[in-house]
Amino acid sequence: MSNILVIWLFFMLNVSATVLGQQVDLIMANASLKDCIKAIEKQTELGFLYHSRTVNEIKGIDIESEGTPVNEILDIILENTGLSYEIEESVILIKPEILMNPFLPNNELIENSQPQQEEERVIIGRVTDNNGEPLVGVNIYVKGTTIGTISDINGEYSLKVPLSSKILVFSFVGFQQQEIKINDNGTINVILEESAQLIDELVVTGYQTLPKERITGSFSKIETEELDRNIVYNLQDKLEGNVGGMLNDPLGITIRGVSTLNASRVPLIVLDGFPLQIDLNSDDYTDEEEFEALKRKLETINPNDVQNITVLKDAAAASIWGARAANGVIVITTKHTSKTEPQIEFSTNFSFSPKPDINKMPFADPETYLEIEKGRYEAGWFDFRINNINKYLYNTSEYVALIKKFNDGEASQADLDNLEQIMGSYDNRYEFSDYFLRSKSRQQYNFSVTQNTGFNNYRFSFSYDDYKTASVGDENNRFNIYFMDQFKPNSWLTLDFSSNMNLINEKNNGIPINDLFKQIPQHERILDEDGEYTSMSYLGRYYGGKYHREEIYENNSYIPYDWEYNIKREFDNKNNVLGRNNFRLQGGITIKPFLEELFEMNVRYQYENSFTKESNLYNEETFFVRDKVNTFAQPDGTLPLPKGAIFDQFYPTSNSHTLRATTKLHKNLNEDHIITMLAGFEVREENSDKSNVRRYGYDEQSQDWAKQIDYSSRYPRNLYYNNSSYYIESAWSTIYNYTSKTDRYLSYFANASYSYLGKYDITGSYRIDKSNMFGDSPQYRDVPLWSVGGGWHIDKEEFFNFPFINRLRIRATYGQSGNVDKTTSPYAIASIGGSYTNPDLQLEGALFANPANPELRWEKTTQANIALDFSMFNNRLDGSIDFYSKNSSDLLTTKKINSTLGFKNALINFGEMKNRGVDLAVSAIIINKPLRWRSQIMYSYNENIVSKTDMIDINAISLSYILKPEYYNYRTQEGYPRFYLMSIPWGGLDENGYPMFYDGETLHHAETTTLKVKDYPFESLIYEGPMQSPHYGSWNNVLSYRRFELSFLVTYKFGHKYFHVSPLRVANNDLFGFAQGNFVSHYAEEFEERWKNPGDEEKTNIPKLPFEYDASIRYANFSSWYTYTSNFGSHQIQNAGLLRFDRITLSYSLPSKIDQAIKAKNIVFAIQARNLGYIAFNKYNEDPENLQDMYGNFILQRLPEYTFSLRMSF
Amino acid sequence: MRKSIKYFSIIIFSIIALSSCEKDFLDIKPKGKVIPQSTDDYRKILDLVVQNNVGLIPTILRTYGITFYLSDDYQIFDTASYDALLTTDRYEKYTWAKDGYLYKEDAEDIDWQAMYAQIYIANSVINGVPDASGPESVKKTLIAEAKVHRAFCYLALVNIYAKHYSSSASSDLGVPLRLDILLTISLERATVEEVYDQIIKDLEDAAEDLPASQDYNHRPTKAAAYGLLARTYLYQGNYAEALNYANLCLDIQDHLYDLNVEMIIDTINDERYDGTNMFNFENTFTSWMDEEIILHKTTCTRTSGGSSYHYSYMVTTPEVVENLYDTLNDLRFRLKFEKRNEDEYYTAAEVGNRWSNGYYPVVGVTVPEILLTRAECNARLDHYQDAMDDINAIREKRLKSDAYAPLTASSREEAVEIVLLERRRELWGRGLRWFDLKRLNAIENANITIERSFTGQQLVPGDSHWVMPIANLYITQNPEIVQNEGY
Repeated sequence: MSNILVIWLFFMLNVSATVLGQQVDLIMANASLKDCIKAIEKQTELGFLYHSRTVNEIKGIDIESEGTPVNEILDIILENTGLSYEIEESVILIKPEILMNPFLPNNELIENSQPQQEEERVIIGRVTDNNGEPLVGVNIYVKGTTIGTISDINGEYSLKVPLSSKILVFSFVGFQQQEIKINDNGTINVILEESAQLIDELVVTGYQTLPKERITGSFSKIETEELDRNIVYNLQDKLEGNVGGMLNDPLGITIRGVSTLNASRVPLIVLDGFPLQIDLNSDDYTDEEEFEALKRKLETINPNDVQNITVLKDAAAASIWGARAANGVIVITTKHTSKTEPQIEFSTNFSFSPKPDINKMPFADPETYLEIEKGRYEAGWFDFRINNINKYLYNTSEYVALIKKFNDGEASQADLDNLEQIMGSYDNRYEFSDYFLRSKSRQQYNFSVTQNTGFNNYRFSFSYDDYKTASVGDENNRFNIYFMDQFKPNSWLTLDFSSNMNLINEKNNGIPINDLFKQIPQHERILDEDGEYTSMSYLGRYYGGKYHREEIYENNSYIPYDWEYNIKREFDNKNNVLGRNNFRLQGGITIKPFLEELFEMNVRYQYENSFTKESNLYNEETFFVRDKVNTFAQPDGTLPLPKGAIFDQFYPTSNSHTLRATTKLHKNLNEDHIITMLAGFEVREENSDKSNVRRYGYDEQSQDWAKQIDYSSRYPRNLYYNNSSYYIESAWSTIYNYTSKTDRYLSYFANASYSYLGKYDITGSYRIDKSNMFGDSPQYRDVPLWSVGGGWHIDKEEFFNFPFINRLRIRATYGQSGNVDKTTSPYAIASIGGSYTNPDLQLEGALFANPANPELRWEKTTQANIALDFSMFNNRLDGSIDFYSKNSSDLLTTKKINSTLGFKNALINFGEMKNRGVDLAVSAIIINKPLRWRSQIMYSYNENIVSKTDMIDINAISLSYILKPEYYNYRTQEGYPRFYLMSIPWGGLDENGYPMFYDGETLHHAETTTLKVKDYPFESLIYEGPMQSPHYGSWNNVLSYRRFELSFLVTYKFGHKYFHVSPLRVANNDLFGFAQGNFVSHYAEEFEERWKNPGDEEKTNIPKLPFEYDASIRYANFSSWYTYTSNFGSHQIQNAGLLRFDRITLSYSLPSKIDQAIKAKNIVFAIQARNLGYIAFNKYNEDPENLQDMYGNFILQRLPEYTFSLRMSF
Repeated sequence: MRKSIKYFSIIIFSIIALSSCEKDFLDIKPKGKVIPQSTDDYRKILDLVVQNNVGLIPTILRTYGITFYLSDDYQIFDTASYDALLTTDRYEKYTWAKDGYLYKEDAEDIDWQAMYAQIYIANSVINGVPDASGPESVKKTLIAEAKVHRAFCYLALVNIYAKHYSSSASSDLGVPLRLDILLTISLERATVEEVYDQIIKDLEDAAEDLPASQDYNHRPTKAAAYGLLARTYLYQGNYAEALNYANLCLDIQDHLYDLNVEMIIDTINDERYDGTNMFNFENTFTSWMDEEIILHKTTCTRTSGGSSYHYSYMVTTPEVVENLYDTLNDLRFRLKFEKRNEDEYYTAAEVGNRWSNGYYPVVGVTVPEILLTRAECNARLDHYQDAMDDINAIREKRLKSDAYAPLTASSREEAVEIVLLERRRELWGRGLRWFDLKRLNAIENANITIERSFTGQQLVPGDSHWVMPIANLYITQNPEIVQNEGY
């Protein structure tokens, strides 16, 4: 039907009562009415709405007038055409004259109209959307004819139809088409439903906004409505489940597969056309830290200011962003409005999560704790410490210390029994939970005003939120002010300005659970019966256990502070505050020098500034201060480190300047050809610096501190064996430090698209990025990044005749985007200071980390995408399927080179990687009335293979590097995914409780094998699969009934694997390693089920613990194989498949009667629950994305979060 | 339309115009890292003397260590230590790669790696300093220092991976001689003679430009260049030149500590003192202040999975030690060995901070080494008395005062024997024994066979395993490198 009716709809910004007074020149001979209208459009900012067929029929207009007001011109050209015009805001409606007054009697109508063949009648009515807002410009026509009209500014219409007409069709862009039977009373009011597509018709690339019908690339767009549905405080969470091809997992955000080995994996974030600078606190950062930084950056944007988010996925979409687009681009657009009345909105949310149940953490009960500690003692593991003269060296547990006293006759059997009784029964988790945990809560208030007065379009918003985490003492609040103003003094000039200020205050005074689980024995009380601090053991201090600390304090009067540790005392004295200010300014000028077609020039500038100040004041009560001062106290009474607080401050700052000039050209050569071009350049500088200061002996009141500390001498230390002397600070950088960094980028870019007959589209883009990070050679520096694409509307072809298909389009793209590792350089870069400073000499050295590499260049990712967009059954079913293939090359990878050249490997552009996949998104309106159910299913498949890299050297790196999931950076392998898992074939436990494993067909017993770990062949390991899900997606639903709306989101991931955390990997439980002679704070729950008696091997995979073994086999190959097989045997591999109930939201909009009563509009209440649960497909029914101990750390379980929200506007 | 195209073109032209100034905009070097440009930067490059324990980072401190395991200083005698040895790649070194290949498949050779890494550093200084900013005098010193570091490495390399210097040196294969920092270059082996010529040239050049003293002992001085020249000529069997340079070296630096003064004698038989408290030196004393060290170098550290040149692995039998030292009166015995437990075996443990950095032995040039070199040259050149003077000077400060008596010699043979015995005692754990064995067999027909008493393996004179193989990996990567005979 779109070739029958063409709607030109222009919402122009310039609204003025004097529109009609605008003067135009119109000299036309034998012109069509349409040409005249277009000529007026060119000269004014007026938009016209008309029924194209009607207007096309009117030809032969001759007019010659100069400087005539629009209304006069219209009078002239519409004379005797049977048409009239009506003006609302800046839109002129051209309508059949008869419609001017629908209430005229029928006979008068007939007289006024042309002679009729058939009897006619008039149908009137009003078209609105779901919310009762009038829809302007809806196409209304009699089915099977060309008789039609459009709705006016109030949504009203009036149409004269032949009496024989049966059905009226209502169609409007973005809404579902409706067909209504003509009834007898002549009034048809229609409510149009929004179309099933969650994707809007306009797509924002950051540089330009394009109609979806003409783009060729792959985009996912999330609109305000969907953003509002998910009540969260961070934009990153808003993306969850809404973007096809995006995987959100513990490894970060991945769009269409990982495409780099060493460079950044973080997608580029573009806010209102400008890339955001990601601030990192160190130069040597991990991927996790970079994703953390991304999340922090996204927190500086108030989610309520966001109009929509577009994710650019393929080459055509992303290559306009060039060298940093290989990981995908997330484009965020802030809100603008077209409403002339001020829109005042207010919303508030309150969220909470229940208090975490720390007792659910998988730790052994006290009986098991005692059993193992006692067992280790009896096996003689502590003998060395008990007997050793350098006892001060060790952090001996209370238990071992007491045994020593008992042996020396200083303690009684009763004391020992008493302690054992406590160890076998007491568990300090309950205490910890009481003092340091609570339910998490967060509240947020938003207020905004938006208005478009025609020449001025502004938004002001304010938000405040307050967040209290599950750790008592950890809280932050965030304050955000945003102001945007778009000023349009006349038709050719637009000035815009926006500023965003974001202030975050954090208090980080909570006690991380790891302080308990990794540092403090399970049986030690935190407060005694009288509520006083107890003296506790503390593994965090490697030298000098509790017993020795107490003893040395009592025996030496020169020790200034008591040397006891207590976790609650720490908590009570913590004072760590962090303030983060982010400031962003954007300004731009847009000039449209000609009124003909669309040609505009735009210059924009952005300044971003982020300043953080972290202050950590350790007062004299904190163990940190007491321990440090005591350590250096000298027997002669001098204190090289003075008493008093230690005050640390850390100030990272960053800023960036970006200047961009673009020019756009949009030309409709005639009906059939549309050309759009854009060209420009961008200059960008990113600066960051960091400084930190430590002050000793700080007095908060007088703000005085010890300025004469001797950092260059060494002093004997207490509690360290042999009193060997040491500097107060081993690295100067702890006391004060400053570093700064500048990166510069320069880019040139252009893109163009051509559309023919509205059916065929061709697009292309080209960009060159340059940066100071590369050398002088243009050959390597100036690699162009480009794309080409094509689209074909099959549905618009003559031969296409499937009425149930509303839209069918094929599009394909091909192109290149890039990536860069900021840590490399073509020069032989030397790192200085830090660990390259000799601590004995305090002499600064410099290390060549990489040989000179003059061939350094951008990483390249070439992507091909072919897709099909379709909608069917009156747009009730809508979807798209994309197939892509990404080939990344020139990836920076560590390549082995001949060590004779000075380096055994060098980071060079050598690696290659492939990603192939499918993104499918289908949305449907399953039920329409009265209950409406819209459902969207997204499914993505991604296959990721590293196709070229140096094979890892199985001989040179130990099995632990190949097996530990967290060491993925060390084991990139050709022919495997970027992130994969391997395991040792597990052979179960033998009759003695020893682990067994296979090497090929051979079954080895860990205790007797002569096979050395380093000789285990790589080929014998089992490749278990990828760590990242290859099959993932979401199921998103919206059900609405009258004023209720229920939405829920389920996400899923399948086809990947994970290692169940072995109890021997739980921190400090590596009983062969670190913990061999130290106390262990907590043991894993699974030890309760360990092998104890012959026959247990049938039931358990947890071997007999090391101390239970015969002492003679405790060394050599045994310990390695015991640990490797227990931790990384194939029995530990589990299916990581997961179905997660992400979110369910119920909202209710108050009826307008109530609205009016309280003088507000659109009042919506909502209740939301997030993280409701999951269905896992592993043997332990655990959440593989929330493992207790992936990196030796404990994390609290992911708990449901409940949110109450109220939203209203005035 | 035409007008817009015109404007469009203006924009395009202004973009092109902008390109002309982009060079200035982009021409800033990345901050936070140093791209060496000044003598100060290069100073830091040559001051990289940190001691990381895991993972080889190229420093100018760490050199070779394989010779500890190759020589007859290292002996195991029981099953337990043999089994422990078997699990490591020290075993192959212990058996001179006779019982299995030394560098399996893709394995790196950490000695080779450490020394070529240091050569890269030296080469980047020698090639980069002339263009750097800074005073000419500093530039000269830096280049001279780098040449000493380079020569030190080549002298070790050519003596580990090539036949000993002999009349066939001009045709015997030495090691690849790298004098630049290029990555794409042929790595063909130079001849032994070419390598020696380069070493001598570098050292002679350096000796001219180096100062007589430096603030730190890892920075080469004139004495270091002379000392290394003495070592080089000694290995060539050119005793006259060796004597000449030993004299030049000792004229500048000849300090010897008297252990009677510096050691806490009372602790000698007290096993509780694990070495740390053996000295009267103030407890901040480290090898960095040691006046006996002329050029500070240590063994290389391990790469992950490889073995370490770590004192605690160095075991030897009581027979060897007790035959060599007067265990009651020779203070070096207590200094260098530790009775590990009642099983009665010893581990070479010159522990504490003196002469070892952590646990990594010093293999650089020291005063005792040059004194002993001078003594040997004198002995071989028939100046017995001069030789005995140096020997007695050492013994006087190493033996308990009440047990010291000067030695005399009455023939060249006797003098040489005394000198070599003292050399072995004094330089035990200095990494030089293997080179001495090689040169004595090659030049002096000493006919020494190394025997591994526990395994029964032998290394007889003339065996091809006196020359270590070049790691297969390097030959695979650069086939122009020719493997040594017998591997």
